[in-house]
Amino acid sequence: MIIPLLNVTNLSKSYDNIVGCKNISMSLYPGEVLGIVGESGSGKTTLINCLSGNLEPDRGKIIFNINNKETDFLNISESEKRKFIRTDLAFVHQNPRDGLRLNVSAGGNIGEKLMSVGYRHYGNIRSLATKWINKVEIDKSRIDDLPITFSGGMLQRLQIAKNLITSPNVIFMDEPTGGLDVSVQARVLDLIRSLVNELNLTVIIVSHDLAVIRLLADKMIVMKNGTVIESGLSDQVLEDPQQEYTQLLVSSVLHV
Amino acid sequence: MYVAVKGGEKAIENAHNWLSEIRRGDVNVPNLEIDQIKEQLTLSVERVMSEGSLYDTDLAALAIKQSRGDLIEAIFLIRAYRTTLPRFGTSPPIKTEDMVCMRRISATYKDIPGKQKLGPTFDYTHRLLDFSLLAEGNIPKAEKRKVLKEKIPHVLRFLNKEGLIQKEKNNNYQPKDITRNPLEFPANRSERLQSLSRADEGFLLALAYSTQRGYARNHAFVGELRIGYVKVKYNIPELDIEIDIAEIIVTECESVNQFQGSKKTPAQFTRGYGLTFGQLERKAVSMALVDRALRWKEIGEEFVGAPAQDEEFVLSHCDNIQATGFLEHLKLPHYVDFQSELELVRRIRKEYEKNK
Amino acid sequence: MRKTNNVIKIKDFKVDKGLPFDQEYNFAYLDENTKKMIRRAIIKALCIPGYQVPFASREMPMPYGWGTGGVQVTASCLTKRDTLKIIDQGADDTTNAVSIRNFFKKTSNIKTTEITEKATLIQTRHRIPETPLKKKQIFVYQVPIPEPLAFLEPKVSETIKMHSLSEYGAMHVKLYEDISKNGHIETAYAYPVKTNDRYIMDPSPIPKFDNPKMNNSPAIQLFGAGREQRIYAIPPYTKVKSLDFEDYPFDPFKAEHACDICGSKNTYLDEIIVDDAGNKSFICSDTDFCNKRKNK
Repeated sequence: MIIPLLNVTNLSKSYDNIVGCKNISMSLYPGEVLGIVGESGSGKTTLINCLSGNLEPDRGKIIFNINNKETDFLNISESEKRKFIRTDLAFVHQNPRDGLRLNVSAGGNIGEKLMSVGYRHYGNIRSLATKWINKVEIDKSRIDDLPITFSGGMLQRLQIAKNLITSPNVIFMDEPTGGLDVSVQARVLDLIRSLVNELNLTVIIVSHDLAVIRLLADKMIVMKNGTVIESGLSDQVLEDPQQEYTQLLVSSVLHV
Repeated sequence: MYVAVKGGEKAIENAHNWLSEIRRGDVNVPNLEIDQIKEQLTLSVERVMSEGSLYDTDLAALAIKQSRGDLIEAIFLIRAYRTTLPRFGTSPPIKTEDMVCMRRISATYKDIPGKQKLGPTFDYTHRLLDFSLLAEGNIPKAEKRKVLKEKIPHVLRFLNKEGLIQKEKNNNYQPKDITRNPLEFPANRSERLQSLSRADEGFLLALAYSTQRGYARNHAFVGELRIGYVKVKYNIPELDIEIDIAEIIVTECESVNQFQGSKKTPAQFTRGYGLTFGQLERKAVSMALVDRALRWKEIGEEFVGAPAQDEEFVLSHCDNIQATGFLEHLKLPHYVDFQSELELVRRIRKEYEKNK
Repeated sequence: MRKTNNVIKIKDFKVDKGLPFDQEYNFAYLDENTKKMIRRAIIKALCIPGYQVPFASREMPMPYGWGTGGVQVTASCLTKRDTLKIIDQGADDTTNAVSIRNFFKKTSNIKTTEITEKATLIQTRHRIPETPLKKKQIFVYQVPIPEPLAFLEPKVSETIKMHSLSEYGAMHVKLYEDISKNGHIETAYAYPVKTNDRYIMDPSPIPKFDNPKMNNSPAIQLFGAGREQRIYAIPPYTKVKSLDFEDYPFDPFKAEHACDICGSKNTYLDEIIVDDAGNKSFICSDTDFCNKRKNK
């Protein structure tokens, strides 16, 4: 039997009296890509932030099961949690500037992730960083350049490299192509898709763009007003949406 | 062969003797008396007391004389003296509502109970050099009035009655003396106000000004500015009686700030508070504006990254004695660190030449 | 001048009477309550090597940044039996060393020395003596910026978190950047160390040449930062490791010269410009060590 990598039960989070997300339950298996869709304000960003440890939910359970080791994510000490986030999770921000140090070279940015999990051999860090810079299709001659000299698409690819280099078990992506020009989006999406296939990554991706979900996600959930209103295999949900709201979402995409 | 220079001790002694001479200046000019400083440079004396956190006009005047009129140096002398004083206890809070006001104005109401009172102010003076001060000119006499017996109510009380202004809640917090406890972040408002009250006037002025120019703009009005005499009381524990131990001059400013409201709070006026020893209007108003800017979290306002909103930035840099000390330490010998940098730069350049 | 009523002279409250030093102040200037508060901070610091203990630093009669932290630590440790040595830049006769030594002479009237071995308490700015420190010596560093992470993150509330959670990855980023730019680590002084395998610590602006002397030292090493209100410590025989990479090990280099006075080849040297043509001479920065060697 395959055990889910992530099990979420009755997760809720509100801000003052405004609901962020309510009673969310879901599970994720190794190698799966889960898409979360919904309009802005539907709670998808709250959910991903709770799951990745950026936000403290009010209620609920988050259990990670990695290499047969169960981690009760909301009931471990702050230091264990930070360590878990460092070694097992990764987070790709919509704006790459939030996930990178702009005053540190591209190689230094990628290398930081390695150094934070204990790498102390310069040569090894350097060669891994070079490998990953290549992998995300940035010319390796740019390794010592500062990210401010990079284009938006390059910055996003650099952020992806930084996040994947330590082989995290779950990768969170918050609108990874949301801030990019349409012409650049395709290339970044393509890169994400090929990395997911090649490395068999487990990903939770938030997007308001159904085209992104269609391309990347195996499973998806649809959120509205902080709750999940529909979930299932992506193909199924997109081809045959049951809820009126989902139908509207899907049709509005088709009309675009 | 080169022999390292010795004689730091002698050099220091000579330097200090020279300083004493220069301080005295031309001996044909009469020696400056402490009383003259105390009576005629009152605003300097009051600034030294405020930022030195010690209310003693004689010592402040002495410090000004000793420091050749360098006020930050004078403040430093007072601070260093102050730390050595034993603490007998803490006085209960002064009551500014009982203040005998020499000046009291409000920019928000034309007429108020207790009346507006201009008092001894530079406001509305034309800034023209007064050459009559070169000679022993006649001093115009100010008209005398009786001191009002009744208390002068705080202006913001009237807004408070209508519920239009943020209520200050008593959180029953026993304030920590920031000169006896290390300041830790995030700081309590009480510690914040203590820091601001002894902060550098110029620094507060610049920060307050920056809020007016849009760096965390908070639309301030001077709700009330009052300057005057208040009594300092002290409870003698052995006898359990409260006595007046001093009468001091303080300046108090309460600002009224427009506020659009947030998720947490409906639209209402908010406040900032400034209190200083002496007649330091510029500082008290600046303090109120900065206090208000620092209260963004409490009100549910957005942090826009303005310097005046950043508590750690403001409180870590507002103390001129800390700042001047660290700045001036750059004059101390740094031969060793400089030497290590020198070696490094040479080494890097050598390698660069080799690889060229 | 009129005597004010509300000023109380210290001497009326003196704890320690009958000594032939400046009667206006308590022994070693600080009052006993302040010393007690500082000693508590020191003990806590010794219990958690490398951890920065906040303390209520006092205004001292010398400016912040001129050794007020070190002076407060020294004043709190000093007893009448101590022999004190004060150095700045390795030398006993630099202006600031002279000034601090005079301060303690005046306020405590204790014995002072320039000879490292004879001192029971040594206060320093920017150097560790060449003569190895020994058991029962207390070695006090003056510290300007105690936070080694400050250049990465100026907010204290954040750096406290980074220390408590050992989030030190970013610290090596700086070293990485140095090597990729210049082929080696650029930090020449205040070179960060890890103390007792736990806390990353700023060794104060000593040249990195001195860093190895901190490791496993038999002396008690205390660090005082007055302006920043922090005290930290290294207890005797504690591991102190300078940060580095396995393939770029820490390198405590110095000028490739011998001292022009005593001929020593393995001591830290000051460079002196001796004429208008810019000709240089190199001499030991540790004046005591240099004198002894020359006279031998």
